[in-house]
Amino acid sequence: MKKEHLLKRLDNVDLPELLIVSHKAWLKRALLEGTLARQDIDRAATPGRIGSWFDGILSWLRGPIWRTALASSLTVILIGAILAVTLYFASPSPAVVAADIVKRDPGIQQKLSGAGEIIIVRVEVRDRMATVVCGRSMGDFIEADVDIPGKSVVNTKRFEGLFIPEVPLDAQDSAVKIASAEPSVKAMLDKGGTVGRVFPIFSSISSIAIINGNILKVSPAATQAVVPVLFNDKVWMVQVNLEQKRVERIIEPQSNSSPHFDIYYWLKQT
Amino acid sequence: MIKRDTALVSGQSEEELVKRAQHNRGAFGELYEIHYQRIFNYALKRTASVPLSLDVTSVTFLKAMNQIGKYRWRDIPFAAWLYRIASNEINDHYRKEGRRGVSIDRISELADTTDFADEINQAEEELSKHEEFLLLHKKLSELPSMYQEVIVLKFFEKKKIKDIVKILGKKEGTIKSLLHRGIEKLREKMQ
Repeated sequence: MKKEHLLKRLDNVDLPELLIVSHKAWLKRALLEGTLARQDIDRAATPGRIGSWFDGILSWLRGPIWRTALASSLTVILIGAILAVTLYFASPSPAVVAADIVKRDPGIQQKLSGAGEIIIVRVEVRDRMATVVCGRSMGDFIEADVDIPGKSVVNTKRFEGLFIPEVPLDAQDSAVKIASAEPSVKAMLDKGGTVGRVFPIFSSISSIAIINGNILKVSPAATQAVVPVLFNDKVWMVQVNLEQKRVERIIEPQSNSSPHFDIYYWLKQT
Repeated sequence: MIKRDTALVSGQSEEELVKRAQHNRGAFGELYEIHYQRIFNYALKRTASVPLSLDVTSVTFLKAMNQIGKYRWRDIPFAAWLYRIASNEINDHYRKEGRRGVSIDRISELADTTDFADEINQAEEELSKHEEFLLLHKKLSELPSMYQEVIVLKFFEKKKIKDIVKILGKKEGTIKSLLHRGIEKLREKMQ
């Protein structure tokens, strides 16, 4: 349709011109005599606000009984859903509860020697029971069986905290040869020093995890090893790069420290 | 026939009448007599519904009576003010899908029922005879309200641009632009 044609139609259309006499008379009387309820005027003065919106709902609910029933059902469902969501987010998971029971248990705190916060290494939940492996930043670990509903530790098993994975024999030989070729190490060995158990070096202590309390799972694979050298009742740590076949560094022993501590300390620093 | 001349009412200007109506309900009745039909028919042309137009008219005058104390003649003529209230009511109705401040059901209850119902039926029958208008309105109602109101005021109410400016409280350029775009959109709907 052309614009001119549309304009012509709009200009010439036969328009309704009506009058509802009874409404006109009634409305005038209602206005002048104030027979319309005050709330009607107020509502008219604020159309579309909360009041009329709420009134709309009430008006809708005043309809057939099915509307009331539907609204009641929806309200119950809504309240139930809100409660479920609130309880779900307000309640900690069983694993968190089990870990908390272990952390607060006086027996566990006593058995884990040393200072520092108790670290939860692993939690396994089975039905109402959980197995929690925990330790401190140093020292041994404890595997605790926890009764979650009873909020108690029912059994504990202690094991050494530092498990040193085996380095393959050929890699051990290679590491010892590389370390022994270092003049300072050779001098110690020539004077009666001995080589200890060779262990690998990993990029981070966090890559170590306990599985069943017996094994250290390490990833990625170690490319370096440490050759401990015991001389004059002290331990030197010889860090060997197995790929490049060279000594990276030699860590001097600390006074009054055990080899066990040195190894752990060294790992922590890596 | 309803008197449309608002220049003089009972020997006084409409401005003087409005001032009186701000303190005198009887004077508001005179303004009501002057403007009732034009507001009702404006609503009818916007909505093509007799019950809805009655509803809009009732609310428009209720609001006007309630707020006339705040009305200032120098800002906008009284008729334009009523048009603006009615226009806002209609737009509000379309936004809220029929939720009204004062419903037609409520007014029907209050009104003298038998005559009122008969008159509504007759009016609807009369309205149905205006097929060309109803066809145009059907297409027009598919446009956003801002286009509907300028087209209805310009073509159905025969208002000049300067009057539409006062009614809608928008700039002349805006009104012309809305009119141009509205007609284009209506033309597309009429294809």
